[in-house]
Amino acid sequence: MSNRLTALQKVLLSFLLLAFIGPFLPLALASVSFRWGWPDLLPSIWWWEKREAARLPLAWDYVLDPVSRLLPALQNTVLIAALVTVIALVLSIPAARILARQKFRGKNAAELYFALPLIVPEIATGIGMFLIFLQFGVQGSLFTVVLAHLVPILPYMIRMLTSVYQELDGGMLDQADLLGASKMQRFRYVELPLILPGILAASLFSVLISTNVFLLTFYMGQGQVETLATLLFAKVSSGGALDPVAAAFTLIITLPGIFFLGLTARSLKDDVFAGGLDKG
Amino acid sequence: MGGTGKSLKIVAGLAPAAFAMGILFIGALGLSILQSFGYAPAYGVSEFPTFRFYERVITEEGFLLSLGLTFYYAIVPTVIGAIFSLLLALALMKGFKGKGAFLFLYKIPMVVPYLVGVSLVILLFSNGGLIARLFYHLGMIGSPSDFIRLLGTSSGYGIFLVYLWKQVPFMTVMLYAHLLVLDHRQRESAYLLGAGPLQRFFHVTLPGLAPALFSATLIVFAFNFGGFEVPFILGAGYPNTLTVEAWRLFDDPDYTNRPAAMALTTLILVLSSLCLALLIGFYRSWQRKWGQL
Repeated sequence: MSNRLTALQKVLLSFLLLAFIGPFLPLALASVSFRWGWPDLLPSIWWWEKREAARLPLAWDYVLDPVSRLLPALQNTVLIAALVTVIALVLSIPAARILARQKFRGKNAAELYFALPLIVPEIATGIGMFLIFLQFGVQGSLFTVVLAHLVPILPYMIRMLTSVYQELDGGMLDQADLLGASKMQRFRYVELPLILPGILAASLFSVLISTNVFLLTFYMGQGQVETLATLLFAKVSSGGALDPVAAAFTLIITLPGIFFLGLTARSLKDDVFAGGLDKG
Repeated sequence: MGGTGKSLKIVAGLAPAAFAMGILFIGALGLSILQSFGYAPAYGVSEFPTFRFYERVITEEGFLLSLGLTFYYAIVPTVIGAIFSLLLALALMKGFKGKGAFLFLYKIPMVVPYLVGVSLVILLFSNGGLIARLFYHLGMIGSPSDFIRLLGTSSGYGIFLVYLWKQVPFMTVMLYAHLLVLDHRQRESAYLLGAGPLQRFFHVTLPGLAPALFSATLIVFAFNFGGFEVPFILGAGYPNTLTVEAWRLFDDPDYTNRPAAMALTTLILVLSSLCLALLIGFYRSWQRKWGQL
């Protein structure tokens, strides 16, 4: 059994790398173009050539101009992601502790219950959730978007934190007990430092899901809450050609994911993504 | 600790998350199912229980087409994606130069929104897109209209490209993680006993990978079955998937159409659950037959 790539595998890896990453190059070019007409393979007029002459801000000038509403959308995106992550942590930590440490009847059922949103189409919950908020007259607010994002986030969060707790050395907690620490002290000084890396990874993942979820944001926000995702949707939903501003928005919305990968390359093990239903 | 104390602790720990999911998720599903049977006083519809809305959406012209498209858009990229992911995950088990960089780069599509994939596909594969221009420079086509229409049609090619771009990395991550922890002694002993690469793959690696492959496929299928933004933007205006049709009905200025939208989302939910139940049943019986070595 050789550990070398076969020729076919080399072709496959090169092809996939090109397919996964390659398209970002023309995207970056498109974002700094002014005219890129058929059949040119490169833009014929660049953004900076027309920058001074144009009366309206072009490409990146437009994106960074208040007119594009990028800044409020970015603020909303960050605020929603931060709030939902805090709420999800508060809800998930106690559940994960129980699921990791206790054996009880109905544990499999509980795990399945928390995994359900993974396999139910977003639209099936999205509209219903909107109706619930409508009943309370709170639709179209930032907070409803936050609550809605809990549904796709909680399954992953609970799962990731459960595996964090499973690896936690229970002996350390017993020692704290023996030394007479109160429950709060034990949590604050022993448990929290031990699970902090896991919490950080789960939080980042939650931020990532929150910035990526589109349909729920769109439904709950009702056009009142603009985020990076809804802004991009408005730009590309016609399906027509991609203008420089849409290309720039696309690049910007890629950044959180790349930050996420960079930050978690070491701390987040690949197996937390092995989410799903097979875990017994 | 006594039995009651323990169960109290268990309930107290699980309750907050279970309660939040109960309201937001189960409650939402319940309410939309209720509406689909005609309970929607807010829109002047209160004829609970009625099957009228189900009848209406099912007998609507184009329903069967939508249904077919929904399955088509869900199944094709899931199957192709699973094959690519399997091949990629196996290749990643080998050592090669630049592997660290590859392991970082291939995950990028996984962590960006689907809309990014939509943008890229428009840029590359629309009729005036870069691929068409490449064909022009190679002298194969004369004008954008000569290029095969990949976007905005029911063929779904543009949709498949976005799904594959996003989901091959996702499935590969799951498979690769599983391969890393798989017991390699079996493969090695199969090798020593003279099994060829294909035999090793089908009799050792694939059965070992089956749980991961299965859950990856399940999640991706369920997502594609109910996906909205990709078919909405890259699919045909009409007919389109059940999800897009449900969205249209819900978005209609005439609010009395909303229960019909609910009937459609309930149908999506039921169909997707049925498919998943079928897949799980199929997987279990397959596992009983082949899973144990």
